[in-house]
Amino acid sequence: MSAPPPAAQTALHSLQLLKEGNARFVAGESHFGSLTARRTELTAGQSPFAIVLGCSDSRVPIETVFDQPPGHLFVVRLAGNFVDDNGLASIEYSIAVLGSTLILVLGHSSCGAVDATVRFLRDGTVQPGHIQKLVTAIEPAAAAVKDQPGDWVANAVEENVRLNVAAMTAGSRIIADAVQSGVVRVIGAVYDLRGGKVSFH
Amino acid sequence: MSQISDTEGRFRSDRASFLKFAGLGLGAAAISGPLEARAADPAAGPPRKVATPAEALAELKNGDARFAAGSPANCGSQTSRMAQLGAGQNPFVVILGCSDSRVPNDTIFDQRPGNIFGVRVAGNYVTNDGLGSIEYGVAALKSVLVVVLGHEGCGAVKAAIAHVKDGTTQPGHIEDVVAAIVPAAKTAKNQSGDWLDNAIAENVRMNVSALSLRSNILRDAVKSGQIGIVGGVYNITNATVKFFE
Repeated sequence: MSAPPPAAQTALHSLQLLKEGNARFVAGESHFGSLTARRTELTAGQSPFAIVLGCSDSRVPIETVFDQPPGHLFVVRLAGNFVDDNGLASIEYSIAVLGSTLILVLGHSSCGAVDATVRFLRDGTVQPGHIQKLVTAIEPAAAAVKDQPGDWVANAVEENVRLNVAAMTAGSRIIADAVQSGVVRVIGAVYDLRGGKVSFH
Repeated sequence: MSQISDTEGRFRSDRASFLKFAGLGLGAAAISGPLEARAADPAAGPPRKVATPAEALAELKNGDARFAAGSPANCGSQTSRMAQLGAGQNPFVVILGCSDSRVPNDTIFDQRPGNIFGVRVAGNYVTNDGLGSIEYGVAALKSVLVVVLGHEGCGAVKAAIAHVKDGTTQPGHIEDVVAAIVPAAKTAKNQSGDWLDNAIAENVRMNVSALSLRSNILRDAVKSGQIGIVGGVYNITNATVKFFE
């Protein structure tokens, strides 16, 4: 038995599946319950159609908010949904080995890591232990929107997504080549905690 | 492995013995720092589902049993919960898992949004940024359990074994993943049984240890009894998680 075929073959179709799944989630009409039959198939391998770089926040479980079953989404999660070398390595694996066609960087409203970064810039609040590393990683995004009108955290969430979309191709030859050849797309989006809706950039 | 008991001594040691106790006698029990002031406001977010590491593990086992039986309870509409989640989060567990699409943590443990703080990287190993995320889940959000979750047929571990076996290298940054897992692959090389299965288990064990070795926050939280750290491996075929107990 071989791995199940990908649910979508192109970046555009992948994006469509994510939008439809999120719409089901928002409407309270998620499809995916029992998956017993599919598990046997998945033992043979995986063919995720999309990669999602998301936040560790417990309120943004990636497969749930996009209503996708096991085997569809290759997921990298870190508080603050930024890309580091380890995350790039994971994403490259899904592009080069598994043939995924879409990379989605997913931020969300009221992100604690972004909030901590804004507080660091505002009054120098430093986080204990390794947590400050998250602040350092998000600092460029928060600093870039400091003088923009509107809510600083909300603007920084958007900017953090934009910067990390750009970092995908800037930091990885494998991803840059896949994008240039037209096989892979990288896009950003923000999840609204209050309504459950994902707004794609 | 030492045993851990909660402050009220309510839990039988046989149930708690698998919780990795990494109290190395260093540091104060209390977690301090600016985040403490922002610790989960009881009024914000849905209340935490469980209160202790042992209860947290039992909840994960029950959820996995529901998922494996094809009768998940938590996959339906979350709309009524959404307003609460807009106010805050109180996840009971932090899971360091693999990016593999076949191991969606919230799905296999049949947990609703707000319950699992998830860190995922191919090969489920501890990175500095991952450690910062896990520390945030424990120090700021007061989760009571940390799970390192490996899985059957892990591609990252396979690549590490191929590297040890015949020097196979991966392109781009992917080789960084291999380098992180090679120690586990080497350790498992001469163990009896299947090299891949053994390396997957060894990689989990090494990263369970790495959490408290590399983080004062996690070490102190184990020592104070706030958290337990436990490893587990997910079997894709039967959808069951085997915890190391």
